[in-house]
Amino acid sequence: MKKALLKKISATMLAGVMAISAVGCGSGGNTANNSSAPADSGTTSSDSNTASGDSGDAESAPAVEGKDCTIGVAFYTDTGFAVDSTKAYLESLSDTLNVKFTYTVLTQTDEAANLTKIQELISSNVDGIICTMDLGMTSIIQECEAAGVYLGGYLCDYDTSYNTAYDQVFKSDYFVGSAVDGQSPDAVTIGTTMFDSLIEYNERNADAPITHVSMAIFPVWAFPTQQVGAEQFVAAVEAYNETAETPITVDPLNEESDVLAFAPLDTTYFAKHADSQAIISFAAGSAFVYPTMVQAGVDSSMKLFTTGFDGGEDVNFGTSGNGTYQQIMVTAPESITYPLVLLLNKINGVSFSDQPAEAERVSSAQYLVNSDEDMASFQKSCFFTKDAANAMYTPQDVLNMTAFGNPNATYADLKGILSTMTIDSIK
Amino acid sequence: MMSEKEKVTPAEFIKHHIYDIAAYAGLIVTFILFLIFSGSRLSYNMATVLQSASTYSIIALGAVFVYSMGYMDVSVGQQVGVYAILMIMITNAMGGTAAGVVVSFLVILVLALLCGAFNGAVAVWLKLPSIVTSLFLMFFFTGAQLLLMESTGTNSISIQATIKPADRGMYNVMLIVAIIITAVIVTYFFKFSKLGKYTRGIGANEVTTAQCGVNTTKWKVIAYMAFGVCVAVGSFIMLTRTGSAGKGTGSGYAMDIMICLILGGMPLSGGMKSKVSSALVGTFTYVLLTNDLTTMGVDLNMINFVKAIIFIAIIMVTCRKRDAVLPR
Amino acid sequence: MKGSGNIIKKIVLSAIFPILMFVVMLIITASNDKCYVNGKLIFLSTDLIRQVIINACMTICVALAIWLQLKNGRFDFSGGASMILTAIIAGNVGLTTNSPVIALLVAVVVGIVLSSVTAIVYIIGRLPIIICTIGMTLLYESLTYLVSGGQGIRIFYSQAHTSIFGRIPGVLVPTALAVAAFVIFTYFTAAGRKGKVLSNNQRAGVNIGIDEKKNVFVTYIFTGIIIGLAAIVYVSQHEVAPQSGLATSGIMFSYIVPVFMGTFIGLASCDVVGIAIAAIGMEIMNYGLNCLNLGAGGWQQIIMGIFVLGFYAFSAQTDKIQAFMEKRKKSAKSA
Repeated sequence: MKKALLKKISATMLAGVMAISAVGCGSGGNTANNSSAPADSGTTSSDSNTASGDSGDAESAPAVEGKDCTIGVAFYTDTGFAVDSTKAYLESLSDTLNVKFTYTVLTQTDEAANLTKIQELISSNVDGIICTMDLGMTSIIQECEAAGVYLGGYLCDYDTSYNTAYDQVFKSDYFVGSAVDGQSPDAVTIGTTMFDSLIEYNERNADAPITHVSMAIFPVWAFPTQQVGAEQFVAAVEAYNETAETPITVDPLNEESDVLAFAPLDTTYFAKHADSQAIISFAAGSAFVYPTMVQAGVDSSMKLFTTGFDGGEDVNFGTSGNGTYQQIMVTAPESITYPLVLLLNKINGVSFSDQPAEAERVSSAQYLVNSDEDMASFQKSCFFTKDAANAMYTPQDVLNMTAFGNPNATYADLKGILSTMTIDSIK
Repeated sequence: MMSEKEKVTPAEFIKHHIYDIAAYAGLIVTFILFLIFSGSRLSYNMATVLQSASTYSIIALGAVFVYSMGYMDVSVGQQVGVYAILMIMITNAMGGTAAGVVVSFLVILVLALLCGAFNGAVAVWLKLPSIVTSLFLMFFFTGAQLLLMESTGTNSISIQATIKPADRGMYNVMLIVAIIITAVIVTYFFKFSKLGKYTRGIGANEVTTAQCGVNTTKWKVIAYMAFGVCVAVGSFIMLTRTGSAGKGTGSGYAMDIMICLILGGMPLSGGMKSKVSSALVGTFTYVLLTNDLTTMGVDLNMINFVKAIIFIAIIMVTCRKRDAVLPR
Repeated sequence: MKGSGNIIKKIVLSAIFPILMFVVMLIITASNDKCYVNGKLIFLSTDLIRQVIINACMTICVALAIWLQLKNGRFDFSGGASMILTAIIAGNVGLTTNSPVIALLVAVVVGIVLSSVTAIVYIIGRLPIIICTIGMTLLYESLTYLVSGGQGIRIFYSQAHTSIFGRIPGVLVPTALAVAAFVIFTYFTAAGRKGKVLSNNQRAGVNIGIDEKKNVFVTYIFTGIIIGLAAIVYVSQHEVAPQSGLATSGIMFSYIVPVFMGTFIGLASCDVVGIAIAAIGMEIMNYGLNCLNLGAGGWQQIIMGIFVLGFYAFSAQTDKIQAFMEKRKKSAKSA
């Protein structure tokens, strides 16, 4: 009895010791961090960076080499081409930029779990974080502010935060901005891009053009741009039909069967769109549409124009294999350069002369692959090969983009690279 | 009993307490690694561990009542998710006032109690294993969570009231107080009241317990309801962390709680060896282990492998049975 | 005469569930505007038969693997993880060799190896089965990140020549093999018969001299064969990503309902037939729900939950029903 009680007491004490020190440190750490993190300029936290103590007003004195630092990258998934190629690209920059990278994976639906992941990154002494998810951002940015850690976005439009917590997130000194996966919600062009791909296909296949299509999107609450894109596509088809010899029919978006709540397309989709010859999937088609096409045995009779690339699509792309895929679209991993450079500037206590006052979300051009030639180019990209030797930028290029590596570097130049990452740039 | 205890040699002590020794050793090792690898951010990291462990430990403490009967509840995660969303919705509907927070908490408390009663009573009435009723609740709450979030039209909703102290230190105090109060209350009921005695009795041998004149149905319901209270409190604590909830909030909690209890040396068959300390030891071991692997910079693809090996090593020591037949 | 009458009775009793399910879903879908496209009821399209067969075959394989363990008194949590890991390995081998047959063979071998490892850990560790299999689930899930560079297997199912075991008629091959393995084990091996004794009274079984360890090991080998066959069907129908956090148990759970329903329906005949019939009935229900756009999302979960509870509640009363039937029989005879 006594022993049992003793065990309980010791268990409580162990937990208590940790907890009490956490309280002490919670407040202590807070003040320490506050004191080391000036309110309005980009200096680093003092606790992880031995050289950062004198970085207060370093903006006017750029150095060639960046300080030793660690950047945590929080991915939205743990595997796949985007993750592997991004890691390969980042690791190639490590030596030249003096950055060590550490990685974690966020959940796509659980704010509390994401907060814990970010807290663990901060605990592992990172100086900056690149985050691919907009979930629980207000609490995450609070953590970053408390710990003096900067945060940038990648493959994410931060639309929820943009619309509901702009002041807390985008105006925070610790948020440097985000490179969007494709277009940001205020500059959508994906509908016309999809339409152009369809027309290009019809021109190539004049003997058997696609004249009837249906669509698939993710819910508006998750991807508002896809709904806009679908409307754009329909408008483009309608405009085309006014003069076209062979008009194209688009099945109107069916709220129930065509909006994929992050579950694969249902097999009854094909009965509901009985005459459709191609699916224009704004939603990630290789994961959510194609499997059902295979299951229903329509993968050789129907075409798929979609976004994303998960691997293996090339086997059935264009004139290869079943020829199901006629368009894929992905963002280059090199677009992570945008938040990376901004984070490094902050960590090194420098900034561009034309740095905007508030953080921005910037659209990225994408690799639009809609022909065999495009696919051949795409297969040489860093994304496809997961080999940084094929990356668009060398480590020296990236160093030259930073304010500390190149006094003449500008924000406009950095932002500009995001619009150049197209399939043609690989050729 | 007493005479047996007096004769205990160190070797016998170790033999008899191997589960506890392994569980505590696990906690101590993870804690030492934590101290080493947190480096200069030790203080910050302590708060991190405390925050992630707070919800787990409160729910795991409540789960002791259920697990000591040899039962389990697979619906906890989805319950937590729905409760968090409901709290946000009700509070926001009442203008984000303090009264709204109180009302919303009372609503989810009632719901949690009802679920507890359902798990306890319906299973008995329909002669079902209680895992089946909790399986039903899991399906039901998964659906409810999806439908509630779909009705909001967003990926994530945030509470409009302030439910977390602005000062981080204060917040940490709040969490510690919550864990301690829950632990004290649970320990009292589990150790010194009929509830604990009977739940352990049910776990050890339900028929015998019933034949001793105990209304096992009644105590099952009470045990599940006690768990329900902890789930409601845990949901609130979880909500204080981010102030928001979504479709995946709480997912995986049922399994995490089970793993915490196993790591803490709780026998899943229930019975007299069930201990409240398992909840705390297990939770902190689990949270510290996850934290250690991140701060140590273990490769992402290796983290799960390392965790699995550690888990198997711990259960090999703590859960080994020496019966003539293979344990089930 | 009496014998053939009995067989007909058994067939009718067994077929009641899917027929009833079909009629119910037909009525529901026929009375719903959503289910008509160009005036045609989509529930009655040929797609129904294809989908039901393909999905039911998958369900039968997994359900048999689960039931084989349950029948012997063990709840094996790790079945899902073994299946996913097997699927990834077999799929990659099949893709490299370009041969679905080699993939099938590899799947069976890997299935047996993984199951044997689980059995060895269980026997040597003397761990409670749930705890042991949770541990093995975590281990196998973690291995899904370490094989094939953590990429899982994606394009095996999407190529016609590799995915023959996921489509009609190829899917019937692994399903038939799984049924055969189950039947051989249950009715034609000593281990299967001894397993029945052990599941009814473990201690008595051991006391009368049954080598429990050997029995467990043989059971796991047969389970491994069925898991391998389930894996080949799975990888021929789905892309398989690495899994973590016991997610594979969720994959396995999604096939568990027909197991319990099947054993109940199987009262009229035998468990294998019951499971097959239950799987077909469930897939008819799923197809109907899909026509109504209730195939995914919140309502599907809630309907599923109510269904599970209702079914359990009903089947838990079987002893009462049987007693009632017996009573009626007796009173009819005496009359």
